[in-house]
Amino acid sequence: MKTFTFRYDPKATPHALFARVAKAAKARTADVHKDETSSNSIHAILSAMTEVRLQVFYAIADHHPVSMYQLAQHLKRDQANVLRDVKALEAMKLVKLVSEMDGDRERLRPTANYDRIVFDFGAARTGRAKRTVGSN
Amino acid sequence: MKATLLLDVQELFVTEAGGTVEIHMDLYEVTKKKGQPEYRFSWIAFDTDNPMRRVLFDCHPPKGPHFHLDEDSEGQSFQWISIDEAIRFFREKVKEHFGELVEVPDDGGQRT
Repeated sequence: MKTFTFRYDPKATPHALFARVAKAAKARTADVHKDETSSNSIHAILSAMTEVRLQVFYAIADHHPVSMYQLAQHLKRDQANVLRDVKALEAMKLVKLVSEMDGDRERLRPTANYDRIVFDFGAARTGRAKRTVGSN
Repeated sequence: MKATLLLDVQELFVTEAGGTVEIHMDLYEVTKKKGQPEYRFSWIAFDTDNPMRRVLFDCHPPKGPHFHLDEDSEGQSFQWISIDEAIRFFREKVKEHFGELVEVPDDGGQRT
């Protein structure tokens, strides 16, 4: 199962990102985190991956629409508005739009790049993790 | 041309104006040619509500280092000096385009 993760990380600041690029270039050590987006802002995560975009993503992944028209019909939404959400998902690399010919007309078929989306807001500091040995 | 992947990261940030910007940066080490960087890269910053509002830096042949703003498909070349200068220039363009990215957001939901 291919999973994409939105990860909350308080250390993921703009300054830290640009420093990581410089460090990877100079140290020539791999810093590769495919299939995830990190953010130091819960607001930013939930602004980018809204409830509506999650619905659009899972409609594509579950129902394999052959066109944007069919996707919009399934979601009972205006096609232009659905396309805006699909373009945002495409930019985030969660879906792709495949151009196909239907007779002499071109159509865009949305396809999902992942099977599952996960939101990881990190573990709470409950102390439970330390009590796993010899305790209930 | 042999290319070794050094970095592939994407992160989301809030701007001082309250928008959300995603930045995706990758970096490959490649065999150096005269006047060309020893890296291949593709760096993009885009508005998550309007992905065509973007700053895109890349260096695919034959263009060499160049950047695109929004829907400009031609792109504008820039002179390669060093990786630090390229990062600084990208950061400057992102700031010009989207405003300052907030280092430590105070968005009411942040865990400390």
